[in-house]
Amino acid sequence: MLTRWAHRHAQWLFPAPAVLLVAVLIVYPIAYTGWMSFHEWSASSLSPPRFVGAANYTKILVGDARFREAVGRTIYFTLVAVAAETLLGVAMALLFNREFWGRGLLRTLAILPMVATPTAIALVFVMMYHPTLGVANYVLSVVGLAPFRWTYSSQTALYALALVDIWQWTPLIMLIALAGLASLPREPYEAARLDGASPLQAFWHITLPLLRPALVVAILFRAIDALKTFDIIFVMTQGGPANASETINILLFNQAFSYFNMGYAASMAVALFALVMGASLLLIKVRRSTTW
Amino acid sequence: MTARRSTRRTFLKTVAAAAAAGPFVSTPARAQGFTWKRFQGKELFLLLTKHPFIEVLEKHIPEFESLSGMKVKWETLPEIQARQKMTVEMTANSGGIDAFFTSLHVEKKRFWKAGWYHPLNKFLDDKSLTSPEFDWNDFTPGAKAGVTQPDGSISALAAFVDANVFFYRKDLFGPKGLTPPKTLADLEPLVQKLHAPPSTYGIVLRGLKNANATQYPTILFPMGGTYLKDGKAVLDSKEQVAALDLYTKLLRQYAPPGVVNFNWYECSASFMQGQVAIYMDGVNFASQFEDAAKSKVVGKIGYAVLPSGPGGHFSPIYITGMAVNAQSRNKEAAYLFTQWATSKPNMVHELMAGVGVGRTSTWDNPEVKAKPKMPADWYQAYQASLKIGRQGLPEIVGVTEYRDIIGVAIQKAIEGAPPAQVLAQAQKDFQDLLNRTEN
Amino acid sequence: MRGGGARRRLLSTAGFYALAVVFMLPTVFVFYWMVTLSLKPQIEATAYPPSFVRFSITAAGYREVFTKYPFFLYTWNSLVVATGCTVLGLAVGLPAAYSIAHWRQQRLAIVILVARIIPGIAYLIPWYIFFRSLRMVDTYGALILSHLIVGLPIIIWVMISFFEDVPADLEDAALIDGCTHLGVFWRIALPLVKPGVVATGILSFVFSWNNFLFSVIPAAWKTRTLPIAVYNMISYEEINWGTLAAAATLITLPVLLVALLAQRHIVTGLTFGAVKQ
Repeated sequence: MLTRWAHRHAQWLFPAPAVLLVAVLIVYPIAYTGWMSFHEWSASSLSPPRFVGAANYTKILVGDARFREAVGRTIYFTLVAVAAETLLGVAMALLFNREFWGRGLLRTLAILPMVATPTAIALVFVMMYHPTLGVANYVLSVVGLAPFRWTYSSQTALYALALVDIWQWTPLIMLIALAGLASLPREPYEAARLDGASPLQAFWHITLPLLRPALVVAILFRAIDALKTFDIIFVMTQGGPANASETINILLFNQAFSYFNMGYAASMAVALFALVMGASLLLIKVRRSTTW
Repeated sequence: MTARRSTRRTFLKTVAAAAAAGPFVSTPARAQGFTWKRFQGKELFLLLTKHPFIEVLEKHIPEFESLSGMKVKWETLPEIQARQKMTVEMTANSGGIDAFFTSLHVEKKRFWKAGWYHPLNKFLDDKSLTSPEFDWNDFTPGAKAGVTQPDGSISALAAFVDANVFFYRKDLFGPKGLTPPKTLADLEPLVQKLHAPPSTYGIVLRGLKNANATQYPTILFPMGGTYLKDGKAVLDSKEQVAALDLYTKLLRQYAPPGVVNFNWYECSASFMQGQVAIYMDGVNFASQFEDAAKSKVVGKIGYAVLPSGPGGHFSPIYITGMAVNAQSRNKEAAYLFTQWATSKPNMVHELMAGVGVGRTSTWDNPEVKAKPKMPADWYQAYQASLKIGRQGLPEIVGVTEYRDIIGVAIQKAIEGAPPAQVLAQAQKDFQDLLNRTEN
Repeated sequence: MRGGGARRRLLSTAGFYALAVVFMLPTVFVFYWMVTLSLKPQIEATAYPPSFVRFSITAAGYREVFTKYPFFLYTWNSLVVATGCTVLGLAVGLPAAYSIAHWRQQRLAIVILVARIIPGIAYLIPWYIFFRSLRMVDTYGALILSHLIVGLPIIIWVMISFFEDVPADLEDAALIDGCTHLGVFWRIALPLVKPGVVATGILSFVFSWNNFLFSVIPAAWKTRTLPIAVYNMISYEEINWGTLAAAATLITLPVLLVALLAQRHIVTGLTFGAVKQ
């Protein structure tokens, strides 16, 4: 009897634990943040939050140039980093998707960057990027190139940070792509070879479309994380020089824990959420329109 | 070891004195003498910041535990994370923190206004809670003022007072017959003479926004500039423009490349690797400079007071202290801890380890004088700087935001923008901030 | 013709290894640098020109890591939380992913994604209040749940793609034969998506292992995890490079081991097998 009922309702029973768990954990934060975004509060124990209606939202949309600049920077950083990571990640997955000596070791080494503690890596990069003491400029000087300013100039800071992100997260794309390649069926390739297709054609017309769903998910998660990048920027430049690398999340952190504008920070959190949600829905649409 | 014996000795002395004075003093019905063991069995939880003062303190906490019979648990985090955790705890009304280490130059007015400090005035006056050895008046006037709020409430017991001094390479000055500058006017020509890239840069100062705001007054104050006058922003005064011009000119022309984003670690790394001739920053970096395991310039550093200028002679100072949490469920017990942490014996430990303190008596303590950890001119420079000490940051609620405002202006100027222009913008932003938060 | 083929093969193998080296160079270099930093005395850590091979070796960094911090406690805590979070994540995530793939429950997938999209900071205060009222602060439960918010979405979303690739015919055939949904899931779908399970398991473990924000706030005395040890190398006036790099290296080792063992299960050329009608 129970099994009959379970069988009929399987489509709800299967996802129920996960969905309930998530719902319970996110419902209060969403309500709290939303509520706080309509108030103004400096985290004081003496004076309660003050209702200000939509004032915070008006400010982020039209009043605060610093926020708008942060939005632009956040999007730009994400585009640069994720594009590079995807290209490199897929390339490396294709390269390592074969039997060769040292395969296990090499593939494990390749995921090392994403395994290391982000803060430690950021600090190591800080010293590597030091203009006069760092090994990065030393290597450049050895090959005859001029020293680079890396994170120590407002022109180059964002790119230097993107480089750290690319170094660290390309393995994520590679890992998922590798798993995807491992699950590819043989038949289409055999058929293609019989038809005389070149490896490049096989890649373009068979591999890529088959890989696309998993790949888009990997890109989705990278995009979400890149839009919310915090650790490396916080440790390496704190948003500087002069806000040149300030993304929304950094600004948000400052508003909450440095300036104590809890209400304003909450409205920024909502705005960041909307931005990331929008990007995610876009990518999900791309994924669903898989043509065979 | 020495500390324990002396506190036990003083404890016995106190008991003996109380016993002797007994019949001759009219004591109220519930009066009791001071005892460290008053709250024995209680458990305290502390939130501490990663700081040289705390590093020394942590080693002695077991002594406090046996002295008081209390159990102490603590968490040490870097300053920003500690403040973040404090904020989360206080907004959740947790009551989980009893005492904490507070960076007054950032938190003083903010935490006071938010009701997070428990005022210590009553505790200090209460003879049953304050050891007779404590001696509040032993703290320097600057330290006392630094922990007292406009309404007279004392928010913390002063622990560490950071003064800014002039670090210089004696080995580079000597051959050229140079001496530390007495006035700002002497500074630039001096830096120019020492500037010999790429092996040696003339000077290094912090460029990173927010971080630079604490060193910028080393030039701002002597030039006669300041941040507030009668509660109004004065970032666009002509003294300020001149000061910013000098600060950024020095960095643009005589500092290592990339200095615009240098925080103290890039600055001190450059200095310790022997790449820079002059550095002006907080006095505590010296303990690394003199550590052979970390510094290539051990024994080659001279310490002097900062140069004076047309506006006067000042050293920006920053104070930290031990505070009792307003939400603590064991306020008096927590107070005992803060008292112990800033007591005379503990301050002696700190100064012997090379950490400067806010008590006057510690500097003359015979143990400290017998085993100096630092060179003599360090002590001289430090003490002289304390005498001309002046709060480096405005005592306002939005001080962190102020630091970002002036910090960004400094960075833009280092990268070439005209000082008058960036200061005009900073002035606007700062006054706007004051209007919003100071009332 | 035969000689030409062998030479071409040799060139292609050499070309392959050359390419592999080029791709791996940045990774290997930064790690090499980090490991050497952990062995160098402080004064050489920031020296210029940098010393790549010839430098004095000191164990001070590693010694300090073990003496200054209850490193084994931190490691144990990190291990418990990361494993708990991954096991729980897979246990509830795999069925959910299967269901969403099989019955195309797009909306549920988006609900789960929302958890990952919400900025981490927005969770801090509400969760702290929540955990405090349940007296769960400083417990493994609180940490595992908060880390789950990061791991579960990626497990589910990646696995959806893998479950979608399981041929519907296979599943339908089993159902017609009288198999329950659970049976289809367990005996047919799951074995076919093993590479994905391994990949997402690794990811979930790694994300939990390195999570700093969600470890500082809900944790306290007993449950502090490894990233905090790294952060504590940054003090008011110096960065202890040797100890920092030592801590960072030590933290990376267990995860590397987990990854190495798990990677063996990602095998190339897994075929689905033809459907026998």
